[in-house]
Amino acid sequence: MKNAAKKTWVKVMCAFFALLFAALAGVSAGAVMNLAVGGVYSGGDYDTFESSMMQDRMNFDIGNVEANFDLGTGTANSSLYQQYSSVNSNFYYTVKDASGNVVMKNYNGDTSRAHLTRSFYAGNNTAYTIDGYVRRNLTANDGYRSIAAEAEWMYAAKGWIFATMCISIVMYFALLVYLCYGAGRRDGTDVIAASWLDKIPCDLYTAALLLLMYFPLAAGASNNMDESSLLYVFMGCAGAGEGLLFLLLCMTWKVRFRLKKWWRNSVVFYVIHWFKKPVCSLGRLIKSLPLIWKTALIVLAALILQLITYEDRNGFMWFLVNAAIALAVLYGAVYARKLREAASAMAEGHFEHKIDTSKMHWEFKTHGDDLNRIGDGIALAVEERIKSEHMKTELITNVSHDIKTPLTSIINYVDLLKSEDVQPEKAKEYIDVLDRQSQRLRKLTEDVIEASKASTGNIPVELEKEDMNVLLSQTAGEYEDKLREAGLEPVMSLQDGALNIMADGRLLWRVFDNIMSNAVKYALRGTRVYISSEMENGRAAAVFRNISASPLNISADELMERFVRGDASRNTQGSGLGLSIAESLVKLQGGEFSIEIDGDLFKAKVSFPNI
Amino acid sequence: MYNVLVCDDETDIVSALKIYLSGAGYGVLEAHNGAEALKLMASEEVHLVLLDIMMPGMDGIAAMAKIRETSNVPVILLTAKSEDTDKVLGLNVGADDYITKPFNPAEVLARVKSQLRRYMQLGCGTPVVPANLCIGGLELDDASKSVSVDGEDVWLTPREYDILKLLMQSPGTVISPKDIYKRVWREEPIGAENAVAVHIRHIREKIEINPAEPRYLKVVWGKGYKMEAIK
Repeated sequence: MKNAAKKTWVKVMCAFFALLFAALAGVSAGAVMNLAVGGVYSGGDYDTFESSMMQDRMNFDIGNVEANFDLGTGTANSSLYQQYSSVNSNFYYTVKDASGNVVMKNYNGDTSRAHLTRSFYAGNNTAYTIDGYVRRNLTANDGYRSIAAEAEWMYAAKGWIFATMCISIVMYFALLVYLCYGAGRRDGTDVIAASWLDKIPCDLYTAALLLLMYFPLAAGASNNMDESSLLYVFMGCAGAGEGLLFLLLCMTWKVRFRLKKWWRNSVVFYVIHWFKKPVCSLGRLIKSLPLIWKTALIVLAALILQLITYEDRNGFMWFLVNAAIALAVLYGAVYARKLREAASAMAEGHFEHKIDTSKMHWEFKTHGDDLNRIGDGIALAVEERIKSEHMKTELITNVSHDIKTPLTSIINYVDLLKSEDVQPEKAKEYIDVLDRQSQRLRKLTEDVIEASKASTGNIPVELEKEDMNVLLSQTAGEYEDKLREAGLEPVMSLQDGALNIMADGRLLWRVFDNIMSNAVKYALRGTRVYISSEMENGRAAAVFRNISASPLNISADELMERFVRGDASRNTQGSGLGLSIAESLVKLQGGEFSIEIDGDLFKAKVSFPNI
Repeated sequence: MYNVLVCDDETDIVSALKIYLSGAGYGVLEAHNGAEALKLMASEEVHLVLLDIMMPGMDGIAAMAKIRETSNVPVILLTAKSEDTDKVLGLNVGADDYITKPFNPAEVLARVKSQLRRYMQLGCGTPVVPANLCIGGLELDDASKSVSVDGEDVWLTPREYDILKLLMQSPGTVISPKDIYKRVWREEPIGAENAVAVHIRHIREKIEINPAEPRYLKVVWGKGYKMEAIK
């Protein structure tokens, strides 16, 4: 059912039936209208002779009598007698003058049913009245008899007609919905595509369809259908036409809505779009003007506007007042520019920039002084901050150096103890613990120094042209044996050709060294460690991936913080500074360092602009 | 028996070093500042000096400058400062080697041994056979395809030997892994990016005392490898 809606022949069939039902609905609606006017549906008796068709027909015949009424003689010409003889016609007429005297008639007193009276003024300015009658038993075989027969039939079928109308309308809308579903869909795909009809600007297309829909309505309203058969033909055509137009409208809008951004394909949008550019560039031009020029332009515009619109201007006084206002505004603009320039200098970090407030007045002076004070405050704060940062690094470095000396003794004597034959077996275990922990302390002190130096930029950086691929293969070579010992398999995939970057090879090796030693420490035994280089958006990137042995239930940002390690228990080796040092070192060289954690997959990426 | 002068203001460190050095068969002289060291140098026969930099009174750098005025005995600096600038300063003033604290006792012994062998056995004027490639204490004999460090033979695989020879032929020049591969393997390095790096690592482990801080075979990160040009 759904797929059938995409087939062209199904669409054509459905459209054909839809139009058929629309036409049927039009015809039956015409009939219902006729019946309704006759009061069929509002209850009461139905009289064939009172039906609108009968009335219309009588009106036509009375008009005919009136047209053929000979004004000069006050008699009808002979064709009337012939036309309305009792053999030929069921229509009778009597023409009376104003005083009620019968001037002319063919009414012979037969029982009549319908009766219609119309008054008119003839050419000699005399009022006449025409009475029209229809013979009750309709002996003549004329229009009245067929109308009566038709009306009788319609009356008998009034329910069917109404039902036909309803069913036709329902069927039409059902087919409409089905066709709308199929609109834009092609056989074999689910993609909705626009046809050439859907590419017509939407407002233009809709307006054209609505205009076309208006015509039948207008025609129906203006045209008096005197022949009932004509009415049905018209109603049928109109129904089919309107049905077709409505169908087209619904189908195209469905496609347009589904394709999104339907407003982009409209004449209104094109016009707005066309005007947007010059308006925007004008706006940008005004925006880019210096403050004083901008102000001057606005003042000038205001003055011109005033000259044009302001009627009651008193020559000299008007000039004086406006000149004073313009001067005051421009004066304000000059100082506003000075303040603004000073503020943007401060925003760029030039806190020592001072505003000369000696020639300023009022609020401008206060504001300038305030800005100067803010600048002083920030400069002082920054200076203190730098000093304290520096002192912190100094302190950490010195303390670490001082720790190194006693640590040397500890390590040496532990080593000596190890070579002694210490008797209780337990003591050997204790010495092992001392050995392990003193080595850890050593690594920690070295890392603390390096971390503090790297984060404060206290390391000389010599940027040179390096090849990321060479460095990666060197790193992999250095770690090949250690990885194998840790039960890990390195997998290399390097981008073809040289990946030249500006970096300090020695520092970048320390970064890769840290990342790889993490892999050795924390990767799951028996998994692979991927080392690859990539090019993306003009950046050369080194990517390291490995599977963590313990679950990484912390975020990548946390992992990069100092003293944070991948294992919550913290009982493995390592200081938790490696990634923090790596990040700082990469930043020092102008690169980017990022970590991603996806389940147990740990991914570190170092990227530099490719040169 | 060689006499080693150990000079550090930290008595515990001096004692520890004394234990190690005597254990290895060296005579040990103790000093706790620069002045004491100089006094001992004048009165005793000293074959090697282990000198701490940060000491009260006369510090290590000043003491070394004094020693160098009269003697070319090997001096190994012991330092808690691991900054590169300190190392360069120490080596420029006349140190032969340096060890950063906290040090590994085995490494100290290896360095002492290496310096002493060079100073006592090879000396400065030992005639070098022209066929041999010689850089510092590193010697490569192409005739016997053998390599020795400070007089001690080192066993290298043929591939490692070829790489070392290539690097020793042009000391001070950086050679990229790709070029090394092409010249040693004599084929294009496709999918064998880190083969050279692995071999270099192995060579370093064989010829260097501390492979992480090589004296001879240096890694120029991001570029290649080079043999340090040492006389």
